[in-house]
Amino acid sequence: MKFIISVCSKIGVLLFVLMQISCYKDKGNYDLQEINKITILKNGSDTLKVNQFDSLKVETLLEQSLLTGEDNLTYKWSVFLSNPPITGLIDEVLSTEKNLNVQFGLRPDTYTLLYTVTDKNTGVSTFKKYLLQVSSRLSEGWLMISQSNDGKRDVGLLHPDGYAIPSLLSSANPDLMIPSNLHTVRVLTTFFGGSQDIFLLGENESVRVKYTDFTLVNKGSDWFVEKNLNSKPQEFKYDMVGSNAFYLNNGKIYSNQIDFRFGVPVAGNYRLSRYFITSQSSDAGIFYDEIGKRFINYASKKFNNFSVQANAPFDMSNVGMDVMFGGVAPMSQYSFLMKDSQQKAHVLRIHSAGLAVGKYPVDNAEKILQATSVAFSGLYFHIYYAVDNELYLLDVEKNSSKLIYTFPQGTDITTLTLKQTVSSWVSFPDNNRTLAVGTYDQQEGKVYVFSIDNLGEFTNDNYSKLYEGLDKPISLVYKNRK
Amino acid sequence: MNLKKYISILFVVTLCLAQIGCKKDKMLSYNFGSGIAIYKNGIDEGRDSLTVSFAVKNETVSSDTIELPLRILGHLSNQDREVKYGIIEGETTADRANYDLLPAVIPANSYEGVLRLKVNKTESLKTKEAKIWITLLDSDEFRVGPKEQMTYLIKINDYLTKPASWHDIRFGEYSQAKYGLIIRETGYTDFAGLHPEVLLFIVGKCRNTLNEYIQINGAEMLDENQLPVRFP
Repeated sequence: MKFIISVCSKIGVLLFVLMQISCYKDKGNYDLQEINKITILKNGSDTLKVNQFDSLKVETLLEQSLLTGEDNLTYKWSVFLSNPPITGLIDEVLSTEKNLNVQFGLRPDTYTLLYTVTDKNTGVSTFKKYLLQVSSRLSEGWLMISQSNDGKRDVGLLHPDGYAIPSLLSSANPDLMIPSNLHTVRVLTTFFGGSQDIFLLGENESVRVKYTDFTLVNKGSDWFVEKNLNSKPQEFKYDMVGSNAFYLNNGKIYSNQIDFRFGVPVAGNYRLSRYFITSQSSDAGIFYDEIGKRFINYASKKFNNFSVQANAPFDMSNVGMDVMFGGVAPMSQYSFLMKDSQQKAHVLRIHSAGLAVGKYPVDNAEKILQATSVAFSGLYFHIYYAVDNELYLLDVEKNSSKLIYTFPQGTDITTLTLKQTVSSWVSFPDNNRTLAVGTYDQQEGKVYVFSIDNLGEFTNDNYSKLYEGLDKPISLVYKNRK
Repeated sequence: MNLKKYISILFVVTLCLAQIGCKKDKMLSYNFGSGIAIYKNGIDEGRDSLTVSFAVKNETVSSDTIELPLRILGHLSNQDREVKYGIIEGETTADRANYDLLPAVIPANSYEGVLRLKVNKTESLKTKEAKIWITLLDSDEFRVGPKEQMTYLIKINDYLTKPASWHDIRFGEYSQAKYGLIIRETGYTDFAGLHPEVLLFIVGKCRNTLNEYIQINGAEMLDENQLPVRFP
């Protein structure tokens, strides 16, 4: 017992001494040394633009606070996507040299390029970020379906830099039978990872191609659960968010989540117009039945009744007119240019929620019933329409039209398209402010690009860009950069 | 001195005991005959029972053969061995005409075999489901194995029964009429593992038929409970 007490007391004393040490005041009298600081100086722009497979060169200027020479430094150039997708992440080291000089092979997209300089002595790193925009020759421009003299159709790209790349589809797919009478190209952006899908619709067949090189992904016959016997493709759309696909075929609508195969359309005696508006983000839209001459409220693969609307400008379920053309209107609405039984033109404006917004007579517009191509502005309540070689602007609310451009005699306007985004993920600085007009004089096809001013007319009353030496333009659509 | 003597005696005794441990033992072996059991984990349709519905089969089909996997316990044999089985009289509601017990055999040098049972379509199945309770029986070759693996229930009918894979969310409440409609329009009887796009296709196809029915008859199609057939 005595022994235990003696041991405990000794431990106690020892602990007490140790505790005293912790009370020692830290005078902070250290031997501090400044470490070498590295600064990456600005040398040129922080935004880099290259084409895929081009060489990417970046020279850097470095400054060190204490050392000279660069033997103490290591470098790393890494690259990752600016908007990382849910799947398919890219995170690669391009180089470990001081200056970057590599051939850039990753797919066209927007990347963050991260430059890391590390001091081997201290292990401290310094970083610099660059915005890297990678394009390809095919990444942006007007996609044009054109028809050669022997009647063959193909797809080409009119690049913003002014050059044209013809016969894209046939050169990317030498073995592919291009669908006959190709009439529509659609460039659509998906919700998942924001990738781009391109659909080409012909008279009896459609194809989907890769946005990078226009090689075939699959054919319209692969898009159905059950073989579709009546293939007459008319229109292909995604909703604004890019989660649901809508395929109008032979007057019937097929819809599903994107990349799901289509089931069966609602059966019945009706024929839907190729002009329709989809909802923002669901499997729903407003269509026009050309047989029943009425609007149809489509949701969850069913036709539903319209909700009762007080003081409606017209009855959605009983319109009684024929659709000539349709297109977007300001405020996410949609306009239909229609003619009634007395051959009088009207514009009917609707909302995607199934509401009638307005009915406007069009009885002062010159030659409107002869219009062959039409483009609807999403910026103003304006409609551009073409008759032979004349281009008119219709101000719907004023019920008046104006001739705004005349092409040379003997030239026909074959197609007319505004640069317009069809996706929530795509924006153009000149959205609704650039109009492409395809013309043909029986010899040569041309595409004139006009800039639109704040009155809806053409800046300087003239075109801003001209592509010449083309085949006959059939249709145009702007492919956003990807 | 005494202690030393004691230790040496202990040493000798231990040594003797250790020698005994070196005696070669004859191998023990289980030799009470072989056991037999239904290998329930190997039955995809259900561990304890399965249903055969002639209603989902082609009109011309009048019988079907059910195969139940068997496994033995114990030794292999170099010759085929027959497995005896029968039905449980009190529990079985099927007529004698509804089934034929085909011979069940464990082939030579195999741990496994198959019990085959032929079920036949009869008029009575249109209105009443028949139960066949199978039980394995002791024989000269085999003794029945674990109790819970000796019996199996087979239900047969000629009307539609709700499949286990019925999709309430897509198809709504089950009814025989609705299931029959799906089978007639799409041919699908089992919905397990189907991609949602196929389920949507099934619904779309049936909806169109129902709409057509309304157009022709001026009223909705009714099921066996006189309720309208509808998809959500």
